[in-house]
Amino acid sequence: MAAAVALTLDASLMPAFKFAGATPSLVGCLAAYVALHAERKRAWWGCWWLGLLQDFSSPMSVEGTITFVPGPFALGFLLGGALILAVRAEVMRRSMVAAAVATLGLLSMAGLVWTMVWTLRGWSTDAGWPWAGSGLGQLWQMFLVAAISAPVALPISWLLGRTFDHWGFPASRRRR
Amino acid sequence: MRAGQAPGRAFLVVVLATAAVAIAPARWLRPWTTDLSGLIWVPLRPPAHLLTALRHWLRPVGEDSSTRDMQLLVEDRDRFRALWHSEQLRAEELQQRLAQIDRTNRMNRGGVPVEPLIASVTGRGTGTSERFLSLAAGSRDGVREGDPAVIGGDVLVGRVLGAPTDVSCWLAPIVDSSAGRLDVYITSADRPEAGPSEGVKAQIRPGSRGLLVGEVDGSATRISEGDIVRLWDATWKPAAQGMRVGVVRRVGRSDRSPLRTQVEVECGVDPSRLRQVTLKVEASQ
Repeated sequence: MAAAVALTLDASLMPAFKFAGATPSLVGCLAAYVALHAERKRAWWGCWWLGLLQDFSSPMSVEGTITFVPGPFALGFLLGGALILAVRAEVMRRSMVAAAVATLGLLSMAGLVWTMVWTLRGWSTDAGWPWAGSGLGQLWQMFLVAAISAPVALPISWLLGRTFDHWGFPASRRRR
Repeated sequence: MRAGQAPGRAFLVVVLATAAVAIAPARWLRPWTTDLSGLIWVPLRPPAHLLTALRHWLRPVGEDSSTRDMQLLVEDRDRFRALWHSEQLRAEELQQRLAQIDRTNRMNRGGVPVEPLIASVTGRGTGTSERFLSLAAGSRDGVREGDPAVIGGDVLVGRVLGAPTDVSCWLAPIVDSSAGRLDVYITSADRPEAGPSEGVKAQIRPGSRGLLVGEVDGSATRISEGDIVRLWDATWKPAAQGMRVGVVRRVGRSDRSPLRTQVEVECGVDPSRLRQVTLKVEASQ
């Protein structure tokens, strides 16, 4: 349900908070939150699912027609989730700042993987790349999205923290 | 990875399958991913539509928008003030729609009978495809792939990309890289009624700063800032021909070939601020 809410908000309301050409990603904030708190196995699956949902909400123009390519964000969120899982034991997970930094890391990694996958696709087909300008420029744009999403993750993590007991995370079960 | 908390073999298979799908040919993906995405978005589209309306309320079109001239701004402001005071918002909105349909009907230059169809913007693509607009109009309303979308009668927004579903379609704005190169002609701002024979032909493509850029022969010194750019591209449907793409914002020497002139064109519309567009669909016989 949280994923559905985040996706809907990303597609409709979040462009109102566009800054420097980048729109914050609530799905990215949610994935980072899940990666910070969920059991490792569920965190992997959660990041993959959220990335896949993002892929199915991101139409691309390939060979002159609309195409949804499942995978670029799913793999990117996975790698970003892996990054968080590797360091989360060292941070105060309930801290809003940790959520913001995790969002920055996850979305940066997701941007890197997304750009790599689409670069690979561009090389392997004649369709070219789905961005104007250079791949580095696109990578910078993806980093901007991560950077603008990080401060948004502060209130989002606070909001999600209010419902922490209902998520079924290990820490929330211990608190009960 | 800690023992007992590894994602398991099934997950690794899923990840490998995801990687394979991510680089699979588009023609293999398109038939099933488009339907799947449509299914995912069926329950999400109504709330997204409502929230899009909320976004437009939160961030209305600013009066300092550089895409409109001052006179139009003042007229718009006065008109909306009048609407506010008249307590007849609904009636006025319908009147506007009627006027837009009428203008679009009169702009049918392509020789193919078209019907204007007003479509609400229900949302946008997420992430990297945020420039794509999701419209609440589909094949049931007569929308077909490639149908152009305009606002204000002749300002070209983009065209429908891919086969529409029954009730929705995706609109690719002309500033998106998917639009590719556009053949256009540029006419003087002083003579907006000038035809293609009096204008300068050019080919423009989306640039990285949200502008359209192109090059013309160096002898084309007739171009100046503020000139009007109109579409003249055989790859677009007839209903889109002659529609206004934007205005020339900068004219300068090309860095790569000094004998040519580089023009930068600012689009007549900011797609992120649109609430509705008029699709020019082919009239049913």
